[in-house]
Amino acid sequence: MFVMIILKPMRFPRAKKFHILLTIILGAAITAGATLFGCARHPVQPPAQVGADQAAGALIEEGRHLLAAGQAAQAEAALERAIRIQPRNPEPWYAMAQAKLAQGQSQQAVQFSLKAIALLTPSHPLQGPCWELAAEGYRLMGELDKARAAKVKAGAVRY
Amino acid sequence: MRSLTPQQVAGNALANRVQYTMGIHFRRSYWQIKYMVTSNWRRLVWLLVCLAGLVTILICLYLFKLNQTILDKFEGRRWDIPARIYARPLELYPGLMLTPDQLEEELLLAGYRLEIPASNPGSYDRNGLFIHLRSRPFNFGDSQEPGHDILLAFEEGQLKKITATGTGDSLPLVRLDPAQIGSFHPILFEDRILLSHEEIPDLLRETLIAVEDNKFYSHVGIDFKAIVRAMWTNIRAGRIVQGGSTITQQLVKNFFLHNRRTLLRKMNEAAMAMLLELHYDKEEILTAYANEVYLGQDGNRAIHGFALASHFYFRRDLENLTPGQIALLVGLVKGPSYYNPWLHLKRSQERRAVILKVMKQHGLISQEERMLALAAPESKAADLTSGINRFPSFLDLVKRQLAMDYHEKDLTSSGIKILTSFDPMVQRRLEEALDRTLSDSEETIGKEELQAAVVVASRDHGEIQAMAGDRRAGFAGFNRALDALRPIGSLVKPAVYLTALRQGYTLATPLQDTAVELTNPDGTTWQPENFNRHEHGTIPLFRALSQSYNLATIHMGMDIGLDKVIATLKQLGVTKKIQPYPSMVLGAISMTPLEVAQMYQILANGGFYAPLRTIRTVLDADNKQLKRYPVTIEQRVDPAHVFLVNTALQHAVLTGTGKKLARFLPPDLKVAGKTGTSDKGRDSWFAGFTGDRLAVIWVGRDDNQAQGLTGATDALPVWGRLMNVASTQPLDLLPPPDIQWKKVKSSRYDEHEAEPWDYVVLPFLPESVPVELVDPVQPAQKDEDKGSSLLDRIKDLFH
Repeated sequence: MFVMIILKPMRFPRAKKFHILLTIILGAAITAGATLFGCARHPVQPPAQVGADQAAGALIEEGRHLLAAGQAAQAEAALERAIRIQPRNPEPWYAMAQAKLAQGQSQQAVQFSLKAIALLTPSHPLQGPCWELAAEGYRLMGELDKARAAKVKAGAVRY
Repeated sequence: MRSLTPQQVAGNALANRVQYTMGIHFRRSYWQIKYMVTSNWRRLVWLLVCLAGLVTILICLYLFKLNQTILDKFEGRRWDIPARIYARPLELYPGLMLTPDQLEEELLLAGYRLEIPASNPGSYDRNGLFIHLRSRPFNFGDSQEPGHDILLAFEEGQLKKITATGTGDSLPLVRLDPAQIGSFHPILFEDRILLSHEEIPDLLRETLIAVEDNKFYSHVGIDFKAIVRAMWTNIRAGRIVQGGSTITQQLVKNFFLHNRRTLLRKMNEAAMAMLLELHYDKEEILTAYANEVYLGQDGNRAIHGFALASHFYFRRDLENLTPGQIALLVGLVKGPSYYNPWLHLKRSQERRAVILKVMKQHGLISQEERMLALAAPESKAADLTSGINRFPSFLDLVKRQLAMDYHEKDLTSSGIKILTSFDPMVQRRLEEALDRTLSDSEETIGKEELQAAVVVASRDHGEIQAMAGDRRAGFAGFNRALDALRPIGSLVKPAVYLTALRQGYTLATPLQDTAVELTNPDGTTWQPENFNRHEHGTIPLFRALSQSYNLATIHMGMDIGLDKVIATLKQLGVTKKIQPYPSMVLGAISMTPLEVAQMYQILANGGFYAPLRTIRTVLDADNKQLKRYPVTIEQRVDPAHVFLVNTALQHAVLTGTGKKLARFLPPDLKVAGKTGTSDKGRDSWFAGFTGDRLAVIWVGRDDNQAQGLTGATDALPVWGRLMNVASTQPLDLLPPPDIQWKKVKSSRYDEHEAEPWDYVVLPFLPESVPVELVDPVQPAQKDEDKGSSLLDRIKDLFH
């Protein structure tokens, strides 16, 4: 619309031109106001997310290293810190499920997988691994029907 | 011939003399007299020896008993390392919602000192939006956090940047050492702040010795010279003006508080003092003294020990006291009530001046410090800066949870550390919100003697962050959060509706909100009513929940079956037995705020049960992990059904019984919550959650008197004020896969005319999508319709 007004100004009578000008000025004022107002209301939301991502990310990384080194209990402690910083991030929950499985706690491994899944969007790349892990947990608990169902879900995930 | 012993020789001589004196008048045989005299002499000696032996045995027995008494007393209270309870450590990272004021508050609570510039661990220095701090190293058992020297920059309510001052590196994450919030003897659980001997400030130690017992390090428990000097002074004065008690004697006196000044008691005291010195070294005795000495009275509570006295008189940690304040405390030893600074200011100041003079004479302070202290007015500090034992409700729960897992003997291993989930910032906000709201209610509406209880927990992992068991902050008494059993009213409804949704009901299922009469199992009849006493005809299910309609709930509850509702309540963590009375679905069930919090925790956590915990880890004195209390979760309810209930609870806050929250909270927080009111307005409840926190508020009276309370007028404002400052994360419910959104009529189904605004977009499970409803809508479109304003759209043009 803006482009149209600028390109063909002469077609409008004088009074209408005035109206258009007024509209543009008002629009600009509203836009500027909204921008300022908006900034004040949402104090730089994206950087906050970045900071929390980095902090939790560092802890998840630490947890994974500890887990790889066979220190599952210490890994859990680091992952719990990550969960406290970003409780809605599925990654530390999933890593926690891995730590539980590594310690032979199949039941908690399943539960943490399910919790991670509850936080995932349908197309999230962790869908498959989470269901795989849940299936493994169920299998170890001897709940083979549930294991099979989880396995099917792991396979049915669309990436 | 028989040889004579010296006694026999002496006896012979005596016998001769007697014989001579008696002459011939009493002539007895030499042997006769000799026998008589020696036998008397022997008897006397023998008697004396026996007597002395007996006395010695008695004294020994008595000393032995004294020794036992003193040892029992002393060993019963190993002051050296008390159990400590810590708050959660603050995790600092860029983007954290935190103002410099909030951080400063947290630092003071953790016993940090303001130093310019910050140069020692445990100090900070602030310059506007910048805080330079030096944290203390802390061992968390599973990991060791070193001390940090960092510069923090704040901007617009956020921590912007963390810079290591040494290297200039920017840091992604720093964990501070946690604030100590409690200290207690593992067995006695008493309210006492106990110091280890390193924690006694040098100035206090030196001043105590200089004032009370100059020869402390050299005497053996009693100071003979001082006793003689005191006696001489007392004789000259004609009354008792001076005591010659050593610190050890005073400690003994404090152990066995009898106020009679008898000689026997004095001797006992002296004996015990010497025995104490035999068993313990000087540092142990001085530490015990500093922890035990009586320094004042707070109502029924005796103030023992310098650390507690420091909090009582100055509201701060001992290590942060000025020389003048230390002088005042030391001055109190002589007579805590006589020199009480609040009752007898002049006396107290004179005494302080005397102590300051002694301090100067012994070179403990400079002349300048002395003058500075003399000039300082000693008034009650208004600001609480330290947090030890200030949060009794929370500590109460910590102790109960400890007692469940530990036998007494496990806890007696001294020096355990208990790391908890307590969040001092949330607690502070909670105390402010409670105080303000209840005072308002009483002043403006005339409600009287209101009490309150609050539980605040994290949304996803079941950690209790703050608690109030009494409306008065810091009040240790009846803990309503744990022990007040009250009818929960409509707080039960989400469980009832969850049961229905699990059986195939949808958020749009028509319910009948019409009058009904019911018969209880015992034959009595009951006619429930709506809160506004009206009937609302045929309405969609979500509306019955969001408006908390009783009649619709009863009809539905009877249809689905009370046993099913009870089964759901069990899954939601309610452990008590519930009678299947129809009134149960309207909340005729008594629960504690903590139990309600557990029930709502499962809703907040999308169907996952996470037992509410306070303790994270218990460490022994060497920081070895004794026990970890990990996050545990268990899926109890299908997340899809919980999603539907939570959506209805969001409507309850948006348009239903909780809509007054709009006065306190921005709508983009998207709160899900429920009001609850018991019969005749005796109890007012609000339970709800945001993206990061869950809170349950109860307001009512201890005597259960009807006050016309409602969930929306009394508990809700506390919740709103609390979350306004304590919550930053909006509740973005994540729809389960395959959920479908449909536009349905939100007003009465039995009235035909419907305006465009009488429609609402609701989620439906794929197997129960209603067919006769208006347009299918996508969630994205729905979000745009609801959430984004014209301004946002214009703004988007410029992004």
